[in-house]
Amino acid sequence: MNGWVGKILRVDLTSKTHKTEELDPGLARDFIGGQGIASKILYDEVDPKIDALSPENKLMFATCPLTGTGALSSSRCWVVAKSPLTGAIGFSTFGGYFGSELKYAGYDLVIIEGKSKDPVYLWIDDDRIEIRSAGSVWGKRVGETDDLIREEVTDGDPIKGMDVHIASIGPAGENRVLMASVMADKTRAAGRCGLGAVMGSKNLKAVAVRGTKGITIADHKKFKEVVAAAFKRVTTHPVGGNIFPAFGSAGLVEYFNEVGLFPNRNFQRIPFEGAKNISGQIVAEKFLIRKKACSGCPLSCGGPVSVTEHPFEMRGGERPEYETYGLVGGSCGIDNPSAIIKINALCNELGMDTMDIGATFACAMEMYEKEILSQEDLGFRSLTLRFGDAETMVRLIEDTAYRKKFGNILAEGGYRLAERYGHPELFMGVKKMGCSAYDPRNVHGMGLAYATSTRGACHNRAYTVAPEILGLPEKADPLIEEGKAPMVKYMQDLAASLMDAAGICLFSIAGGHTMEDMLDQLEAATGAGYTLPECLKIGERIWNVQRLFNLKAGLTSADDNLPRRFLEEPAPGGPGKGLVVNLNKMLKEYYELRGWDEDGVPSPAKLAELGLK
Amino acid sequence: MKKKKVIKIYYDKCTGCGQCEIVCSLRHLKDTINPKASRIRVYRDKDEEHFFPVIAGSGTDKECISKNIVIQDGKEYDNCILCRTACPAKPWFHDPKTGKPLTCDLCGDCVEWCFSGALGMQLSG
Repeated sequence: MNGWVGKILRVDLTSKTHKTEELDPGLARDFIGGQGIASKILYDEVDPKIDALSPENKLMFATCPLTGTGALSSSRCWVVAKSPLTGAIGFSTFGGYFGSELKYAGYDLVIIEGKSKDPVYLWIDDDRIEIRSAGSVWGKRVGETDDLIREEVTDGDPIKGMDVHIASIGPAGENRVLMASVMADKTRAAGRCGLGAVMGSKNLKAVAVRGTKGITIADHKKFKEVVAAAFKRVTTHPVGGNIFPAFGSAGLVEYFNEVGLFPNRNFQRIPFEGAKNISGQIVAEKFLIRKKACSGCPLSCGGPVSVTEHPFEMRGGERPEYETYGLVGGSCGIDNPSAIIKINALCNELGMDTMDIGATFACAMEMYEKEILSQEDLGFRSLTLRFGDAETMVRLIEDTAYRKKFGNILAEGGYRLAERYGHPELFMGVKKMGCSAYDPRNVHGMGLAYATSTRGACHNRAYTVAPEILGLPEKADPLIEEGKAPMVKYMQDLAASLMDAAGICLFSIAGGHTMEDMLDQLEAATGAGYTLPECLKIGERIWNVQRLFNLKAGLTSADDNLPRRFLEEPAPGGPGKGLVVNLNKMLKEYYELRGWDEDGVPSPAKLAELGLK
Repeated sequence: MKKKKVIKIYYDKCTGCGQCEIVCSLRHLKDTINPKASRIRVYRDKDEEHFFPVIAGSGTDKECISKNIVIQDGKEYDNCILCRTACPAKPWFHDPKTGKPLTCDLCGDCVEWCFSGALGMQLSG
C-alpha cells in the first residue's frame, strides 16, 4: 500500500499478548483512516452499551494515510474509544510527532484491548513490542513521565531519545477524571471526550514508539509538486503565512470578540471586556520563547512560553490555543494572560482538557455567584469561586485531577456538576461535553454544528465560522437559519474525510489550505483514485457509522440539542443582539438532508447506499 | 578559487517541523519517506526551546574520542549531538536497512522546502 503502511498492531493488556494484522484495503479505501477507520472498527467490535471504563472498551491510536508524509499540516493521530464523558463515540486528535513515528514503525493503527492488572506502558520499537511495567512512572505528571520513559527505553542517550515519541496520561487519566486527555510529546493534547480516563482504566500509562521504516508514496514526483503548491498557497496567505505563525490560533481573539463570538462568564454576556488583554498578540510579545511546529506544518502555532508573575510562574509548555483563551479566559472571566498560560500548562501536566475544564469551572462559577454552590460545598473558607478567581481555579484544578474533596465532583465534568445541584441548564454543553468558544447566537450555523456533532459540542466537525464570519471560501450571513443545514452537512462530510481521515490539521483551512490541495496530496500519496464527490460520500459514511454507534449506545434525537441559554435567552450583545438560535428549524432540515427520519435514525435506504448496516 | 555551495543554518528560525528530513529522504529513496534515512536531521532539545538542524558530512568507521562541549544560549550540549560525521556511535546518517553511511550531496531540496527560513543556500570561498 502507498500512504498507508498496511499494518494494525493489536495488543491485549489482559493476557499481555499482541499480534500484527494486515490493514484491510477495502476498509482503508472506504474510510481513509484516522477517526474514520477507527470509528468503523469500534462500531464492529465494541458493544456501544458497555461502560466506557470497563475492560470491554477498546482504545485506538489511529493514524491517517497522510500522517508523517510532509503533506501540509499532516501530523494528525486520532485517539478513539467509547467516551466516558458523553457515553457516545469518543474521538480526539493530537499533532506533534507521535503519529508520524507510529507510521515509520510500520503501523497505521494500534488497538488496545482488555485491562492490565498492574500499571504498564507499551514500547513499540519497529517490530519489537514490549509491555513494560509502569511502576516507576505511575502517579507522575506528563512531562516527567515522558522524560523517564524516554530515558528508560534509550538508556539515557539523548540522540536516540530524540527519535522516541510518547503518548501518555497524567494523574487525571489515572484517576479516571472524565475530562482526562491523552498527551503526546508532553504538550500536544487529544483533550476531548475523556479518553485519558479510558487509558487509565486499562492501567496503561503510556505508549512509546520509535520507527525506522518508511512510508511509500504512490506518485513521488506529483506528490512533491502538490505539496510544494499547498505550502506556497498557505505560506503566502495572510492568516496561514502571518497570523498563525506569529500569534497561534489565538491571533483572532480580539476579532472574534468584536463580532460577538467570544464567550464571557459562562456565555452570560457579550462582549468580553478583557479580550484585549489576552490576545495571541500579547502572548507572542511577552511570553513566547520561540515558535514550534508539529510534523510537516508551516503554521507553527505552538511554542514554549515563560511566565514570571507570581503565583503563576512557569516555563516550557505550550502557548495556549484560542479555545483555551475563550473557555478558561473569557468564559471564566479571567483576563490575566499569565493565569491562563499557567492553567493551560497545569492542565497539560495533569492530563486534562482545557476546554472542558473551562466549561466546568465557568458553570461552577455561575452556580457559586447565584448561590447554588455554597462556600461549604467548596470545602475551604479562604477562597472564593467568583468569575475571575484564577488562583482558586489553579488550586481546584489540582484537586480535580486527584479527585480530592470538591475536586471529586468537578472531575465528573460540568454537566454532572450542574445536574447534581439541580441546574443542568447552567452547563453550556451538548451531550455532556462543553461548547467551544463561539457563542452560537452570533453565528447560528455553529448552533447546528454543536447540536449534531457525534462526539458532543464541538466546533471542529463543521467550522461554520469560516464561511459565516471569515468569508472562507464564501461569505454567508451568520445571523440566519436559512442555508445552515446544507452548510453544516457539507462541512461535516468534508472535514470527516479530507481532513480527519486523511490526516490534515483543521487549523490549516483557516490558513488558506484548499480542499483541492488536500485531495491532490491524498491522491498523489495513495494513488487510490479518490475524487471530491467520493470523499464527501466517505465523510457521510463515517458520520453515519458514528450516528449508529450513538443510537445503539442509547442516545436519541433529544441529545441533538443546545443549552437553554442559546435557545431562550436573547444574545446580550454582538451583531445578533436580541436573537436566539432557532435550532428546531435547522435540525429538521438537517435530518432530511442526511436521509434520517424525524428521530434522527438513518433510513435503510441511506445505509444501503453507504454500504452500512 | 572556485566558489562552492554551502547550506547555511539559522538555528533561531527553525521550528522543528522536520520537513527537511522528509523531503531529503523522499529525494534519495525515490518513492519512500523515512527521516531516519535522511542526510539532514533536526535535533530537538528535551525542553523544546532549541532545535538544531545537522547536515551529514563524510562518514567514518571509527568512533571519535573527543568529549567536546558546545555552549548555546548558556546551555551545554555534547558536541556529538551537533557533529556532522556519520560514525558508529550515532544512529544518524546511516541507511536504516544497510547501515551504509550517508553524505549530503547539496541537492538543495531541504533548503527549498524549509519555509521557516532556517536553511539557506549560499556560495562561498
